[in-house]
Amino acid sequence: MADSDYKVTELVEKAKAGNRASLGQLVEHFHKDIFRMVYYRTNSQMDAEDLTQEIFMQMSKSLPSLRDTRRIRPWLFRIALNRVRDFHRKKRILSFFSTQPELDASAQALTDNHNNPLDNMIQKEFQLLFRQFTDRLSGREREVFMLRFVDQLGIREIAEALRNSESTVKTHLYRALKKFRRHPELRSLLTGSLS
Amino acid sequence: MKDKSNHLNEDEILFSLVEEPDLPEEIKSHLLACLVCQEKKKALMTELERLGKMARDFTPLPQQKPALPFRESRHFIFNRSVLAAGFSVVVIIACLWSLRSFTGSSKHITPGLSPEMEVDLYLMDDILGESALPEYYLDIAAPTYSYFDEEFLDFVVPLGEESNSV
Repeated sequence: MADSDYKVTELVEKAKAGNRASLGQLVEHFHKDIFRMVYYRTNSQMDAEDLTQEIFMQMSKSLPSLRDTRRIRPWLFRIALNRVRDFHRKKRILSFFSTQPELDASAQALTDNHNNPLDNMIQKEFQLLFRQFTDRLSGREREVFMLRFVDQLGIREIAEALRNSESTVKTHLYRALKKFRRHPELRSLLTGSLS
Repeated sequence: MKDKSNHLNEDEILFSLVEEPDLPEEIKSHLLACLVCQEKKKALMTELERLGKMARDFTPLPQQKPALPFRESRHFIFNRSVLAAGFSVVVIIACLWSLRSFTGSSKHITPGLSPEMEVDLYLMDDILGESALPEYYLDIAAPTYSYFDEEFLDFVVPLGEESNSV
C-alpha cells in the first residue's frame, strides 16, 4: 500500500470514530476529484458545487457504514455517481413539466480558465472535441472511459463504483477505446499538443 | 504463436491496454519481444493519458470548500439510544405495575404496599361487602333492598293503581 493510501485509510478510521479534523482532511483530499467528476457529468460549475457539497454531506453521514476503509475511493465515487444520476433524473422531470426551453448546459460549462489566448483556444477546441467523442459513446461506455482516464480509477475500483463485474467494465472500456481510435480530430489534437 | 514479423493488430493493442495484467500468454510474449508493438501501445496510452490530463487541467477550480455538518459522535448517539431504551423499559414496567394494582384483589396485597394503602384496600372490601354497617347497627337500620329499584317497584305497583286503591 502506498504511503498516501495508508494515510487516507488512517484518516478514514479516525473520521469513522468521530474525529472531525480527520473528516475535514478527507474532504480536502477528495474535494477536487469529486468536483471534477461531477463537473464533467453536469457541465455546470454551479450544479457541480452544489452536488459536491451534497456528496460530502452524504459521505460524512454514511462513513460509519463503510466496512473496508481501504475502499474509500470507489465508495465515494459510487455516492457521487448516484447523486449525479438523481440530479439528471430530477432535471429530466423538471424539463418535462417546464414550459420554458431549457438552457443549454454546455453554454455555461465552457468557462475560460486561462489568461493566455492560446491556452483558451486549445481548451475550447479540446472541450468541443471531447464532447463530440463522449456523445458517440453509450452511457456505460462513457462512464467507464471517464472513470478510467479522467478520474484515474483502476478497473477494480470502477467495478466497485458501478457495482459491475470487472469483465463488464473491461468490455465497455474496450468498446469505448475502439470509438476513441475512430476519432482522428481528437487524437490529432492530443498528439499535436504533445509536440 | 505470433512471431516478430506478425505484429499485433489494432484490436489486440486495445485489448492489451484493457487486459493489462491478464493478457493471454501469446500477446504478452509478443509485446515483450516486439518494439514496434510496444511503441504502438505506448503511443495510444500516451494519448489517453494526455486526454485525461487535459480534461483535469481544464476543469475550473471549485469556488467553495464543502461545509461539513455537525456530526454527533457515535458515543453520544449510543448514549441517546441507551437512554431511550431505558426510558421505554421504565414506562412498560410502570404500565404493568399499574395494571396489576387495578386488577389485583386486596387479598393479594403486595408486602411492599404502604400501611395506609393496605387500610384503604380493606375499607374498600368492607364497603363492597354485603353488610357494610357493624352488626349492632343492623338492628336499628331498615333493611336495604338495593335490588328493588324504582323501576321495579313501578312495575309491581303502578302509580295509577295506587291512586285508585286510595
